[in-house]
Amino acid sequence: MNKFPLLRVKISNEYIMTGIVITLMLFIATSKVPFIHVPLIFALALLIDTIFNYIRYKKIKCGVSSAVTSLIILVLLPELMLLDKAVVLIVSLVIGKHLQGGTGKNILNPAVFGLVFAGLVYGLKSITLAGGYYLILPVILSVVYVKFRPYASLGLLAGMSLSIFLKGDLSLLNLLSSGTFFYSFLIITDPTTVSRRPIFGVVASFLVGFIGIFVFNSYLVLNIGILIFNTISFVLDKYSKNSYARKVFSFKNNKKFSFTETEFVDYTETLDEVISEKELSKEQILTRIKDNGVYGMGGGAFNTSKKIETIIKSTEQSKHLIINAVECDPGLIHDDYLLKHHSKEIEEGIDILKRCINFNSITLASKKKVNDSRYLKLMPDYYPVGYEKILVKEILDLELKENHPSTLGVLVLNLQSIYAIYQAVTLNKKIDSKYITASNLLTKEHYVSKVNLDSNIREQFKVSGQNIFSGGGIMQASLCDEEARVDKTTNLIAIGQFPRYKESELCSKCGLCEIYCPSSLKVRHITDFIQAGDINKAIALNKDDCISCGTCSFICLAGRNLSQTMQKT
Amino acid sequence: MKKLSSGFINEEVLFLGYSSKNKAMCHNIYEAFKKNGIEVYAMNTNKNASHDIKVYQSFDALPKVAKTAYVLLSKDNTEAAIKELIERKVTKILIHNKKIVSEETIQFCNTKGVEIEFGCPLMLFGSGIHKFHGFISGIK
Repeated sequence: MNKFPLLRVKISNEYIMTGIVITLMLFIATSKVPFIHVPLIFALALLIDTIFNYIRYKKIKCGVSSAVTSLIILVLLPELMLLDKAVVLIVSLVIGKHLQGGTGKNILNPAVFGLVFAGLVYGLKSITLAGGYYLILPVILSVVYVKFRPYASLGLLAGMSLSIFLKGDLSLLNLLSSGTFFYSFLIITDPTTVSRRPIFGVVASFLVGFIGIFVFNSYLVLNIGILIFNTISFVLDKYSKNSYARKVFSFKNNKKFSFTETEFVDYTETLDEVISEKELSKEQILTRIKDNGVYGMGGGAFNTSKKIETIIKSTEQSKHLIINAVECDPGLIHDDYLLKHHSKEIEEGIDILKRCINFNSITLASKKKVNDSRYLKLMPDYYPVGYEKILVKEILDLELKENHPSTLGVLVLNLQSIYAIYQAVTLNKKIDSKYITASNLLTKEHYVSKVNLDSNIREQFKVSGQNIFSGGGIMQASLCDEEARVDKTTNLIAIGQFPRYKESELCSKCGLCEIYCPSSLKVRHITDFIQAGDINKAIALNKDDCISCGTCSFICLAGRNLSQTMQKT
Repeated sequence: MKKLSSGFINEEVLFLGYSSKNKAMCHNIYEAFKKNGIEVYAMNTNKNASHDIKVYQSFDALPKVAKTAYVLLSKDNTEAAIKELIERKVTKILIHNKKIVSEETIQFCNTKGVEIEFGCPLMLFGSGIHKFHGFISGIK
């Protein structure tokens, strides 16, 4: 079954577009648009979009983006006759959008396309927004949309403002009425048609604004410049292999993941007994680790004794131990619990390893100062900082690339694996149970539980009739059927509702999936190729570098489970 | 052609044609059934598809064949599927809409004493606009 983040952003493209509609309505309220034009043009836009979307997708799709186009035309062409506005709208949507592929696929900004048409056919070369200082409110509301294309917005704002300044007209009123803010905050920030490249965005949009307004003093030239900018954006984004302008993603202070922690529950009902024996030799230690089945408990389930042997045999001069207690998945708490309640056992686990390998450094990586371990190093709180490759880079400044860390003399073990080493060696205990996090997504409570491997999840947690999910974390879980069992990769069991993945075909190209991809992948392009059956092109864009962190699925405004699509072969 | 009525689907249903290509709608229907306490056995013979829920790939894989089935298939596949459902003693079949089934198949069901109703389950078990759609369509 598919894996997916169990929680995801509620905001969607439709919400954002509705916000833009409301903002545009405020612009219209301050304008000279005849009232009757508004519902008629609005309705015409929805009708055109509905017809074309039905032809394309055989179902009714949300037409709010066409509503935005219609309102922009109303704001910028208030004095045009109703029929002429309708013609401009039809040209915008039919040629400027649907003939180019439809919502989310068009190359040119449909509203600007219509404005160019209006400029050529009706001779409209200048634009003035009436409304004076009443425009301040909708302008303030529109600032939030700069987030989508900040560089292009900044560039255009600078270009148009400088033009007005050089003409000797710079004033707040003039910036409002000239549409400088309107263009910079609402038009050039259309993610579907504008690249998010920083340098290109700033420079090109600056030139568009400056040449259009200062050099030619013509909004027709400005609008044509925007269409050229759209075209170049399309070419650059389509044919470039790399993603860029990446940001780190953090769940810190994200209220979605604020759960109440309740009491620990031990489902295994076993007690650990410390046995008294002589100090073991290195060979005896390694034998116990192997025979008692210690494995990677962070989710990888890799054979720990093999990892240790690789380090021992490694010819690297320096050897390092990294204990991964970062627990960067926002839904997990059991490593924190182990650090708080079993710190002595963990220190002993580390000492056991020190008896086998002479480490140059030992680091216990954690996001929080849970205890006073002398090995503790606080890690920045972003996701997925606990991913092995990222962790090694953060702590040792080593690039793993294709290598496994143990080949570079770096032993990375999950915190619970260290605890398991203690159990396997000191207690001579088989590792047939593990600590996991159990969550109730409905009541927003979670607790640490100790469960036996291979136990039936529904029976163990006494859940029937409800959805129960399990997986490596809240960012990668799947639905449990009746037979699902706790296995070595299980870190989380959760009951709750399915998150809403509406899998809309209408991607707005916001780029959030690429901005936050820790592997800097062109997620949208890769998933488009995969959906089209073109796996080779997806592989050419390094699809296999995906680490399945789930960030893209969490953040996608079109409600797509992108990380699952990335795994398709 | 009888419209979907309340009581037609009760405790469990075999959802034939649960599709990954029409994922959002299929999942909405699945969730609507579940929220109304109806156990769902989803089935799709496509071996290459991946799903968010357990989807059985054949009748033999099913833990049981429910007495009521909901069919959401293309017209080409509906006839053969309905015949198999009848062979497996399904007594009630909800067909998503009239377009996906031929008159001959409907007659065949009638001769076999199988009850047939038509409609999207969301109109009865869904909420919001789906419920409104059901109200307009006369589904109660």
